[in-house]
Amino acid sequence: MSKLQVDILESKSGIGLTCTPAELFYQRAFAWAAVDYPVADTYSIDQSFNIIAVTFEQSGRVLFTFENAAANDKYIVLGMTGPGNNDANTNLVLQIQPELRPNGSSGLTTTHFAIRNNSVSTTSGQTPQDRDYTAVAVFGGF
Amino acid sequence: MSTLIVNTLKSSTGINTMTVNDLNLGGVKAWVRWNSSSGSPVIIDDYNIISGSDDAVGHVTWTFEKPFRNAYYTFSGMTGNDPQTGTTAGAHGMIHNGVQTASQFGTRAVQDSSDSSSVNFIAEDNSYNGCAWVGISTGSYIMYKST
Repeated sequence: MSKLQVDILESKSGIGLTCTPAELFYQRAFAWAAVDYPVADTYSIDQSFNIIAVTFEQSGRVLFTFENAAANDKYIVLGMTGPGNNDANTNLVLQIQPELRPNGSSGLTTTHFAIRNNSVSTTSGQTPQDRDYTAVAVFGGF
Repeated sequence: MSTLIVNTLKSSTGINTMTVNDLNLGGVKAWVRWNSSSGSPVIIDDYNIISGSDDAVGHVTWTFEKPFRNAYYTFSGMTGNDPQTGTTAGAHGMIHNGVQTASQFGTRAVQDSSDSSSVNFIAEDNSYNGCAWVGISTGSYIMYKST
């Protein structure tokens, strides 16, 4: 194990940007995941960083569990959802949002967060629905 | 003050090679989580945000502590009821609204207030709000504000 302690990292070319280890630390994603919905009531991780599990909890309601817990619950969750390759419902507004878990417990803790996949339609209102494409990224929690 | 001047950084295992510019350009340059349930934005945690001004319902103008090089950067955000204690209702979204300069950016939280036969997004002050920005920043050191 080698360790290098510096105040500033600078490109040798002399052009471009310098940065500090502190900037790098707080600029990075704490966790991210791209998941799909291969079969009913089941989500699976396509690729992830610091997400060890994704769990179907209820229609459109998904729980993400960190591999390494956050230091606090002040982090932000960003994400997108969409029909993917296997979903014909392309005429909807699809969005995700952080949400209380279906069992009423917190959907944002140091160990996990919960989201809801929403379909918003001009004809049928808002409906939690599972989607073939869901991606999330977490910043903060340090 | 020590400065390391290099072309590339490589882990001792020989993988994960990257340049200093990769590190810098690839990082998120600002993020913020805030609570607007009382009408004004209260910052819960942030990186590179110096202030958020309440411009109207759901509408906040953010000022970056260290500005971007120009006004061309990306933004993403989410909003909703309090995911720790709140009720679950409606569809919520975070959009860009208002100013976009190197030093400031406007956001607006909205909620679909429609019934089952229409869609009508209106501005709202939410408990949970989070945004992040990625782009090319100017280059001075910035301290993280731990609260």
